[in-house]
Amino acid sequence: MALYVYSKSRVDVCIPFAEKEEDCTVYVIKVTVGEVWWLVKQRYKNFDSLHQQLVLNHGLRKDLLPAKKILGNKDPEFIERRRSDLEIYLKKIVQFLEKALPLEVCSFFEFEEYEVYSLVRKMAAELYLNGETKILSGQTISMNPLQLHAVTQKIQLPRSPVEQLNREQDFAHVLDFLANIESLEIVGNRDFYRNSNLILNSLPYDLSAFKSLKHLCFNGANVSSLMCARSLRNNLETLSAHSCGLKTVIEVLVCDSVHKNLEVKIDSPYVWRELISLDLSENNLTEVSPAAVCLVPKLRRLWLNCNALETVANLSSLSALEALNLSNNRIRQVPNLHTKLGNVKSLFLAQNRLTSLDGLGKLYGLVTLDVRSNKIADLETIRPVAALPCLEELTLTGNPVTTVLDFRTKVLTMFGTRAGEINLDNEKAMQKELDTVAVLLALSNSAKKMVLK
Amino acid sequence: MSAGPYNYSYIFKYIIIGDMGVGKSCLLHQFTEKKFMADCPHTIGVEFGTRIIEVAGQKIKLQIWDTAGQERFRAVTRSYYRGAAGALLVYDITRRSTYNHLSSWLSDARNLTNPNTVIFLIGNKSDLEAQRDVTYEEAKQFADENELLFIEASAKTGDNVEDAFLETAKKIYQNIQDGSLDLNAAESGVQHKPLQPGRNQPQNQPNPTKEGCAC
Repeated sequence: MALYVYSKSRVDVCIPFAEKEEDCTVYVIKVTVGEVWWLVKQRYKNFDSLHQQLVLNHGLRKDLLPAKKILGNKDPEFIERRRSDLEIYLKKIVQFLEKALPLEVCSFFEFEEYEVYSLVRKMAAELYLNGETKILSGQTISMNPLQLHAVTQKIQLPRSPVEQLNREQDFAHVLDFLANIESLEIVGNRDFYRNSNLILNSLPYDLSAFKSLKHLCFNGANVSSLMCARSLRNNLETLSAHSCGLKTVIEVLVCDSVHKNLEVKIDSPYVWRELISLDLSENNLTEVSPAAVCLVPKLRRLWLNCNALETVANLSSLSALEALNLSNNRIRQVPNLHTKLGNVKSLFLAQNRLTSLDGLGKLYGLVTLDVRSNKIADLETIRPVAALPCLEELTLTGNPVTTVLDFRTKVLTMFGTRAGEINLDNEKAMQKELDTVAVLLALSNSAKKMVLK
Repeated sequence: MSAGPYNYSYIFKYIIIGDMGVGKSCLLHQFTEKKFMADCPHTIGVEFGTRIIEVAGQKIKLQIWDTAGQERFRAVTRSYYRGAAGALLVYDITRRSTYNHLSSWLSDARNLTNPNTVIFLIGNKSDLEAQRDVTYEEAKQFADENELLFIEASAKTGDNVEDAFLETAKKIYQNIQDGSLDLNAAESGVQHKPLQPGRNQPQNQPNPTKEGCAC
């Protein structure tokens, strides 16, 4: 990110070309500050109003700006001459005012989008007006890596004279606001930011200023941009990362360490002590490593849907886990799932490649089971879950088995006397169905008695 | 809106200064969180903390800038003196060198703050009596000669920490009351709560007509 005060000797402005925009000529200005450059489009009239302010407030000579021309100002030759004159003009004002670039010039060059001091000043002024309202509304605050990076940088830099004199632009407004945020969403981007050479997902930041943070969500961001998660590990309750291209769970849990090959141990300094919910849906996860599981001992809710998992493994040490979402993965089999999971109450396995529910028969705590849109074709493979004592909701829609004749009554019959308590495919059994179930049960009972005799 | 981070009528700005490792960040943490922070990392640049206190029935939000003690951050630290209503100058009673540097910190503070800034000298780590390197009397004398308020405190046990922050606020409030501190001056380090559109000001704001608003 651009930092003007330390890059004064490496500041350059030029106008590479002019273009037509809605029948007007706009001059495309390339601003370079140190390693960073960006493009700004301005019309002649904006140059003119900038210049008037500079003449008024900073004593610039009136005739410095190339003069106005009413007629023939669309002639390509004229535009080219004006482009070159305006470029000379910009170079001159930057040279004259280099020491302390006036705010008018900063905003003409759109510094508030790319430069640390200007961006933070803009944030401060906005938060001075609406920070309190935003915090009191309790809503999730969205920020991008550029803003977070700017704040991280700004903490280590001296205050500028401007912010010392303007109460509205005091950095304190920003830090005060950040310190009160409970829920933050970091929205990243892999492309170049606006018309610049900055890439949001390559900007590092830390979140040490967020002292009340409980819920953090990365959205399309680069989790390893977070340089230090130390304070978060003791406070965060919810951590989410969507569309971040994660391949392993460790990537996000030790995002602030270069070394991801952790040993499996309980007292690791990377443990997230208060984390209850971890949502890593929409990534490319292929496995959950034992080391990762050790870092989230209090986890109650784990969302791994929309990933590339092929098996369910290593989750047995999550003793507090209540809800697990593995929908939309590549799971074919779940043999003896009770040996791989704690005492979960809700299990979502929708849109996988399961052909059988055999392995679920000993998950005795299960209340909700969603296996919609799998490849379950055989009615008999459902029977094991029908014996689960606490099961109340079973979703089987989208499986081949649902096309079997009298599918609902056959499944409900498997639940025996509990048939009335079951919510099958989001519907309780109708009285008519229950009657059929009762008849079928009576028939099978008498059949059994016959056999016994 | 009776509680929460936005129920106050004044803002007072503080700055905490002193040598590296004297416990500036721990004092701040003890004051804002009422907890001792063991293995506190070095402050990079500045830290920021707030807490709402009450002085003479007025709710006051303290905005505290805790600065890095390391020499390499001196330029950052110096930029935060301006506009501070209170300065807490901290040394470590178990390390004489931190006490010896007080005069240089003090001259910085005097040169860079406004004349009304209340400077409070804090001898931190008072729980480590056995390792004491600077006597109370000696420091008290230094404080008196330089017209500083003085207290020995412990960020670890929390002893006297509240007092240091509250006494400073009381003194500032007194300066406002007797007119020596101008609420509307940009560098006074005190101001009314900023007006937020669509929100009401706290009811207990004194004489709004006389003093006007900060915006």
